[in-house]
Amino acid sequence: MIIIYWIVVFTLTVSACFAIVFVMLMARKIRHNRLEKRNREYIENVYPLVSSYITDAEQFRHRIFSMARPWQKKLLVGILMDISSKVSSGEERERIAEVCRLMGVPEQLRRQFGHRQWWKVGEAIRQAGVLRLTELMPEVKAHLSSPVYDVWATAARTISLMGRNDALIDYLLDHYAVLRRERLIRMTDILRALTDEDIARIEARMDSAPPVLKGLFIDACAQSRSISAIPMLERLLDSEDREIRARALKSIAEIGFATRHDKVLELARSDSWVERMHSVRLIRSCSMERGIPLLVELLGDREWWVRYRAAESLTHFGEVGRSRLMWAREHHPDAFARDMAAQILAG
Amino acid sequence: MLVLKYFYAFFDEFILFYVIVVNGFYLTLFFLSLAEIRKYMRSHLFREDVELVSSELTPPVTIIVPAYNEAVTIRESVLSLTQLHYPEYEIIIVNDGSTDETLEVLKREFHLVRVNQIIRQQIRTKPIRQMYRSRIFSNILVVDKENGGKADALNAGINVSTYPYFCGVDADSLLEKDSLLNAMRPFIEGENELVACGGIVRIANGCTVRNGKVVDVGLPRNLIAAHQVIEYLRSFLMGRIGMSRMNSLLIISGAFGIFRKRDIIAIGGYNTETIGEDMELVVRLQKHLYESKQEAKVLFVPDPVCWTEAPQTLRVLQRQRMRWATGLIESLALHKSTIFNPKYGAMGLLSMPYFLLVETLGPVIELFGTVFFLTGLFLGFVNVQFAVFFAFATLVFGVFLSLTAVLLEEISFRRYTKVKDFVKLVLLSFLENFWYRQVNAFWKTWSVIRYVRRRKMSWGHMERKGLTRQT
Repeated sequence: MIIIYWIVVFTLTVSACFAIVFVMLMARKIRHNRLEKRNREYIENVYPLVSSYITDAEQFRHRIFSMARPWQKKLLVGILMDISSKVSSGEERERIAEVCRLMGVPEQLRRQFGHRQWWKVGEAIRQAGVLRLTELMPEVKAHLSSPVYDVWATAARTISLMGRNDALIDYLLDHYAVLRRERLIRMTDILRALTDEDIARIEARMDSAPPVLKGLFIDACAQSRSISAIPMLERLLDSEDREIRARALKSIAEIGFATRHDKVLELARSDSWVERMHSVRLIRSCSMERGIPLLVELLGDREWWVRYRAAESLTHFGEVGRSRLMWAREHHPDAFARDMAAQILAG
Repeated sequence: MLVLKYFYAFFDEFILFYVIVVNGFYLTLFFLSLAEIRKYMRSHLFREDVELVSSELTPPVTIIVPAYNEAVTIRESVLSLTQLHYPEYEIIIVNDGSTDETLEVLKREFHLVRVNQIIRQQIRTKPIRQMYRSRIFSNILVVDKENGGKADALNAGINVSTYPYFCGVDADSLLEKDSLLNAMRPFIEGENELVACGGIVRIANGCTVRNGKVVDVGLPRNLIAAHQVIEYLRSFLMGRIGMSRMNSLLIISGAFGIFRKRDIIAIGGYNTETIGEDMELVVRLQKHLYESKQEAKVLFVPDPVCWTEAPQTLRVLQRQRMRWATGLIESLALHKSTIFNPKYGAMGLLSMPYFLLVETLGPVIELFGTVFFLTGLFLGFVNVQFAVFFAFATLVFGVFLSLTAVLLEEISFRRYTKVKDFVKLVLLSFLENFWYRQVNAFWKTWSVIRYVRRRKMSWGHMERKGLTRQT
């Protein structure tokens, strides 16, 4: 009997839980769909108005922001974040920041920075970054040392978005000894749109940076495609570290401009195949016609990747390159070179 | 008679104990999954791909697609793979001796040309006849080989691959654009070393697919496919996330899973003798990790999505389920030394016993339990009141468990947005406990009997309807 009693209790409890869960989910679903519809309609009506205010500063639109209810303010922040990700003019950004101040967004975010729940902190940092609220920079910087991956990564991204790569560069150089390799790489990945000042800053402290950070900064310069990094990168071609030389070659190739042609041609004969390969890429990207005979020679390199890149690079030189490939296909003394030329011409 | 009476008394206690333990375990899995999904959804807010697609930490991946008689779906499937948002990857389609027009479709759709490539046979496979490269997609390679089964095809793909990670994808599956990036994210961002990562598989039946992309999500009209939606939700959102949280995940779906190549080569690749090669591989991999005392993990991530076509007839479903059940039994039998063995940690003490006692023997106990109950009722050995209440309690809890899968879906990705789809899912949660579960239990029991009687199981034939129509 007692077992039956407990089975009945169990059944009723589970049934009650089932009913509660079902009602809760149904109510949540209906509510969610209704709110989505409401929000969608509000955004459809308000988005053009906000957009025109940001781009044209029509003063009378002010009341959209000052008279918004809490749920509307939340949507407005979302709209501003969306617009902020698309505009590029300083004036428009300033207007977005002004609107945010009018709605009390910086104060709200400051309160959120101290929240116990890391996802709320992270969301606040993200909003600060997208909205370019530079007055929150000190608070954001403090979170670079957070143990939570999503928080420090968002903080690094925000700092970069705010145009303060210098703060991130300084942080990396000052803390590299205590940061894990993966963290160094991720933070450097986040460095975007390096300015001339950032590159000068990197160059000034490059000698004191460890090899891993040097290599990462070199890659960051390549990503930014900044011509002002070329002098520093070309100086690194004389480095004793082979890895640094290879990275410098790769970065210069990605930027597509070089002045030390002789050094590049010298490195194209290096005993390291990686250096030879990157030199070949550089010859191609800088359209270094002096390098064409060397490319023909490298069709017979012992390393497949060097041969492939050499053949591919020759096609970049138009009819001149093509005619050299055709010659190589028939007459190159090396069989692998003839084969590679044939493959590239067939493709 | 007295003996029978005592037997039934013992049986009652055993069943009660068994049901309490099993349902307690399911509840635990549910709460673990709930916590894990909530944690995952929070970090979902900060998802940024910009750096990952150009990061040094983002490794290149080989996608291996074993294909046997997949002429109907291969084009859509490969097209979806060419649109992935990932910096560097190659697609190797292994035509495993298809007897239909799979190779012809590939040649026509992807402008294949023959290539000669030297392959390092790190894992022994059936001979390769020819290799092809695509002229329009430079990262597509097709390997045409003699038929050797899915495991053999995957091994051939591993031999040919040039990258340190590979992702096995079924030829009838569609990957979402960010699936590969999301599945590789734990490898790129993780604090812990990972050797394998699985993603969620969802049912494409009922969805609108265009040019290799799922553009609208819906529930299938076919009842059998619709039941599988709940089943997949329960299995992936509850089962695998919960197991992954306990670091005892033993199965990564063959439809979508990423592995670190060097570890798979170290353990000899996929086992071609078993029909459940996906589970057997992960069990062997976990075993290898424990034996070599490595800290590396096998993880499940709920976000990366792979859409697949589910069987719509009982005949095809039966073949599939019996194949899975046989594969599970074979994996357990091959690695029986790990069961209840503390040397293998959570795997030996939790997941292997779970798969043995619940997934394998559970349906047998359920089916024979039902027969014993009915016999006992007829002979008067079973308390009618107890039987009724117990059956009702089991039913209610079964429905509740199915509903928890819907709950987990609602608090996470909410792919089924319409209210009518939600109501349909709840009704399916009810309905499956009246016939679908019992039919599956019967097939699983039959598989156990066949295995014990040493009858071989084959892949059979999966009827493909194609993914471009709403079904």
